[in-house]
Amino acid sequence: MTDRTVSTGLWNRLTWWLVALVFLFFLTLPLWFHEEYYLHALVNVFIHSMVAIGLRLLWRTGLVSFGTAGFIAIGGYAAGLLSRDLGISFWLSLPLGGCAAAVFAIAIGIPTLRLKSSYFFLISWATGEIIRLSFLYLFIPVFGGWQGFRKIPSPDTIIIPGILLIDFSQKVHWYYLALFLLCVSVFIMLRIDYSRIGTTIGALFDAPDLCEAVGVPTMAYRVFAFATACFMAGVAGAVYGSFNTFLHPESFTIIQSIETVSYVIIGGASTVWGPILGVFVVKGIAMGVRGIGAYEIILSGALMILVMIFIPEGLSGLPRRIRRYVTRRRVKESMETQHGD
Amino acid sequence: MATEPLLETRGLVKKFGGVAAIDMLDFHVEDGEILGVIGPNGSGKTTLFNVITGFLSANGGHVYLRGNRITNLSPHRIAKRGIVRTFQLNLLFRSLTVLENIRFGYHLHRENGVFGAFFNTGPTRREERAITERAEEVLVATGMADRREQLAGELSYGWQKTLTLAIGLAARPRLLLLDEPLTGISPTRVAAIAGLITNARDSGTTICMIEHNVNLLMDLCDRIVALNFGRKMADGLPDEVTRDKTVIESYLGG
Repeated sequence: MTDRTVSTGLWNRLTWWLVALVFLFFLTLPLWFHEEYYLHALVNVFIHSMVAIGLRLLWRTGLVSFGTAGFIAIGGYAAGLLSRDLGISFWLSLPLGGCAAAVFAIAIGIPTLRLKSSYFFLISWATGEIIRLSFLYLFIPVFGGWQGFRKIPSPDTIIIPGILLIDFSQKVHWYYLALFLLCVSVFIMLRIDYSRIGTTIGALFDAPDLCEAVGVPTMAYRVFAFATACFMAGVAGAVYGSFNTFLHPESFTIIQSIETVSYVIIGGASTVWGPILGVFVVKGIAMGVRGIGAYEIILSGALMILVMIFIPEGLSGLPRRIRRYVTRRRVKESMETQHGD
Repeated sequence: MATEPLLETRGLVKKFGGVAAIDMLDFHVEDGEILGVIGPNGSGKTTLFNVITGFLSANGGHVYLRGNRITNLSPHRIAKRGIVRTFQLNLLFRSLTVLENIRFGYHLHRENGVFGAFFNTGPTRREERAITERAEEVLVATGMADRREQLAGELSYGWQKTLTLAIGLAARPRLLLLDEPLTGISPTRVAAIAGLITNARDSGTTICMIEHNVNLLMDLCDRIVALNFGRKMADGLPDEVTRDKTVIESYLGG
C-alpha cells in the first residue's frame, strides 16, 4: 500500500514538472517563433482545449453532450451581438457570451439531465442542431442567416503607456489572449478537481443512488457540470467569433460536437490534461500532415476507436498503464528467480 | 409528543404494473428501537425502503417523519431530514478508496458550502480534516483501518457490505435503514457488525433493518415486523413474531 502512494506521489510530481515545462514552452514560443500560420492554428488549439476540458467535467458525471458546437455558437453570437450591435466592450461581452450559453444549458438541462445518459445524448444532439438551424433561419436581419454573422469587432486595446500595447492587430496578441483564457479555465477545473466538488462528481459516476442516499443533490451537480461545460464553450465561442470577425452556422454542425467529444476520449478524462492532450494530438496531426485538413474528422474518429479499444482511459493514461505493466513484469520475474533458487 | 412515532406510513401503496408490491401498509418505527423487517422474497421489504427514502414514488398513502409528511420527496431531501439507507447490492463508490467512501457519509454534516470548497478556504480545510478524523474512527470501529487506501471496488463481498454499513454509520442519521447488512458477512465477524448496529442505536440512531438471519434478529431487535404480499403479517416482540402461525407457514417453514 505504501509503495503505491509513494509512486503515485512521484508520478504526480513528474506530471506537474511536465506541465510546467510545456507551459513555459508555449509562454515563450512567440518570442522565437513567428510563423503566423502556426500561431493562428495554436489560437484555435487553445480555444478547442477550453471547450474540451469543459466537456470533460460533464463526462465525469457519466453524461456526454453532442451539442457542444451549438453552445459555442450561442456564446459567439451572443458576444458578437453585444459588442457589435450594442457597443458593449469585448471584455464584458466575453463572460456574458459564456453566461448566455450557461443559462441556455440550465434551461435545457433541468428537464433532461435526469434522463438516462443515452436519452440525454440524443437530446443534446438535437439541441445543438436546433441552435445551429435557428442561427441559420431565424432573425436573419440580425444573425445574417446563410450570409453569416459579420463584422464582429476586435477586443478593445489594452494600453499601459510606455510598457504595453495590445491592440489585437497581430496574431501574437490573440495567441496570448487564448493562452491566458485556457490557463484560467484549467485553474478553475483544477480547483474543482481538487475540492470535494470534483470528488462528488466522480462519485456521481460510480453510484448516483448512493449519492442521493447520503444527501447529495445529484441533479444540482449534473446541472452545474453541464452549465460549466457550456459556459466554457460559450466563452470559447466569443473568442472564436472575435478572432475570425465572422461566424457562420455551418461551423457549428454535429461534426464539430463529435470532434469535441473525441478530444476527451482520445486524451482521457481522468485529469484535466487529458482532453488538452487530445486536442494537441488531433490538431497536431492534422496540421503536420499536409492535405489532411478535410479528413480531420476521419482521423479523430479512427483515433477515437483505436484509443477506446487499446487504452480505454485515454492517451493520458498510457504512462500509468506502462508503469503497471513494468511492475507486473518485475513481480513475475522476481517470483521466477525465487523459484529458481 | 412521545406518542408520535419517528417514522410512520399510513395506507402506503406501491404498484408495479397493477401488482401491488406494497398494499395499504401501516407501518411505524419507534424512536430508539432496532426494528427488524422479515418476509419471503418479493414480500415488499426493499420496495418499502425504496418508497420511504424516495427512490420510488408511492401510488397511494403517505410517509411521515415525526408527523411531517415526506412522501415522494427526492431522496437527498429525505436524507437531509435524517433518513439514510444502505443498498442490498453493495452500492459503493467503487473507484474511490475506503476512506473516501466513508467520508461521503458526512456530507449532510458539512457546514461549509461549495464556494468554500472551490476556494479552499480555512474553515473548509479545517472541516475536511475533522471529517477525515471522524472517518478514521469509523474505519477503526468497523475493522477496516488497514484497508483505508484500498479501492472499494477491489474489496471482497463481505468487506464491501461492511463498508456500506460504515457509510451509513458515518452519516449518524436519526433513522438508518439497513438492507440486509449481515448477509454474506463471514460468521466470525457477524457479532462485531451486530455490535456496531447496537452501538449506533445507543448513540441515538434508530435502526430499521431487513434481514433473513432470523436467529440473529431475535437477539438484536426490539421488535420485528413480518411482511407478506406487501402487507403486514405480524408485528411484535421477536418471540411473538417467530411463534406466529402465519409467519411460520409462509416464511420460517414448519
